[in-house]
Amino acid sequence: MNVAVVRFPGSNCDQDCVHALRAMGADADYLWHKEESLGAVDAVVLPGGFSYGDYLRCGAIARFSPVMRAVGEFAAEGGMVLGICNGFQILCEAGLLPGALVRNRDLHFICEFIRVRVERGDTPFTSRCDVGQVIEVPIAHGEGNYRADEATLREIGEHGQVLLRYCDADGAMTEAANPNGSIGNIAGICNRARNVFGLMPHPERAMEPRMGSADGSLLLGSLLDALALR
Amino acid sequence: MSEPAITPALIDKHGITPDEYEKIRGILGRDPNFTELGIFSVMWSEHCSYKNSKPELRKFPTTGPGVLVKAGEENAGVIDIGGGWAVAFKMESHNHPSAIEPFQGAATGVGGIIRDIFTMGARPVFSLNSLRFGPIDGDTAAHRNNRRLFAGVVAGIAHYGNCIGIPTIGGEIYFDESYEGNPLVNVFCLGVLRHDQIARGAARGVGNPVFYVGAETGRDGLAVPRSRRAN
Repeated sequence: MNVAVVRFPGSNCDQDCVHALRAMGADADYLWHKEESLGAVDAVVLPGGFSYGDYLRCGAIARFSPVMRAVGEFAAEGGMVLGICNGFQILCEAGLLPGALVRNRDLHFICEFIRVRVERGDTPFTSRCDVGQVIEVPIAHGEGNYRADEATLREIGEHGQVLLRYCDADGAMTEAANPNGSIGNIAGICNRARNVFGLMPHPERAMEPRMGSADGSLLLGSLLDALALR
Repeated sequence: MSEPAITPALIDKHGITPDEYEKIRGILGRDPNFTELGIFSVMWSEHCSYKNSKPELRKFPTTGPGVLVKAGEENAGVIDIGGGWAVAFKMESHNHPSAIEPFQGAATGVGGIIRDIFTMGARPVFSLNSLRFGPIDGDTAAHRNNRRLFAGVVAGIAHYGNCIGIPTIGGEIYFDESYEGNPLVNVFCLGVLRHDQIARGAARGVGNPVFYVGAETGRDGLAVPRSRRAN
């Protein structure tokens, strides 16, 4: 299984992603953002970081990187694309996922472990989870407040595109458990075809108990399971 | 364009003492011109030369069996930690930049110290800081300014660390009137490397070419617009 982890200028979770994927048995490698072709890959990961220094808006410049045209074509053909944190922001800016990520409700950068509830277990990104399962993963962002207009929210709701929502230990979606003010406590969404997934939490930072949680491996493991079945 | 005459007042304005000026004359064998005076002023400043703190810094131990690169020898010192691994670490002050513009002053302090670590060939893994401010509880103009400095420095340190993905894992902070208008902002970074990864910046020998290598950087270290690039 070949997984390309794209490096934009300002990416800073690329090594963590490659390490986490390799530790799970994937053949993961870096891909410079100026590449116009993905090569023979089974999945693409857009890692976290501060691509282009978050100039203009998070992800607004990275989406014009040459590699993004190839990522768009790859996604259109059903290729698996995962965007984590800044990667999620880039996917939204690129129009590969609906909605936008704006400044956190309390205007601060937040770096902490949070809980999310898995809304679906029948996607390539969540198959190792049960519906309603509460997992612990860290977030680290200043702009993770998910927003979309009502029509879009209705649409992603109807098509079951919300895969993760911020929740408390019991799985309740309370305001207190919502770290950044995201509408509907949304922490991660996929496209309608369910081959493009973006999330604000960092699964690659929660891969084994000594990191505070191993729950991130459920998400990355689901992706690798899906690739193995292809 | 005529240069200003070198007067005692101008020399004083450059922060150069009469004794230091005599040293400059001794080195050059003549009076410095305006540009040279500026260069000496910068290079002999406390910020660049540590002329006041050096005697204190010399009191620290700098040698030992585990020392792979001594303090002051390169961008950062390197200490053996066994198993072929080593750590490079260093701290730096950004007091006056932070007193003028606390956010950018502190942020560039973090950037500077991270630079000193990765230029040794090490991968930076964490930062620390040690901060001193005047009192922030109160309603005088000085208190308000101290609060501005405090909030800006903390935000600047956090911002740079977050952007580059290197965690600030601890620090210490004290408030005292003696730091009124003169905050102390010290940041520290530690990186990990293998012994064979140590990169040295020092070179010597007359007639050797100098290559300055690296990506183009702009105002924040990202990129220079094509129109402004030198050919």
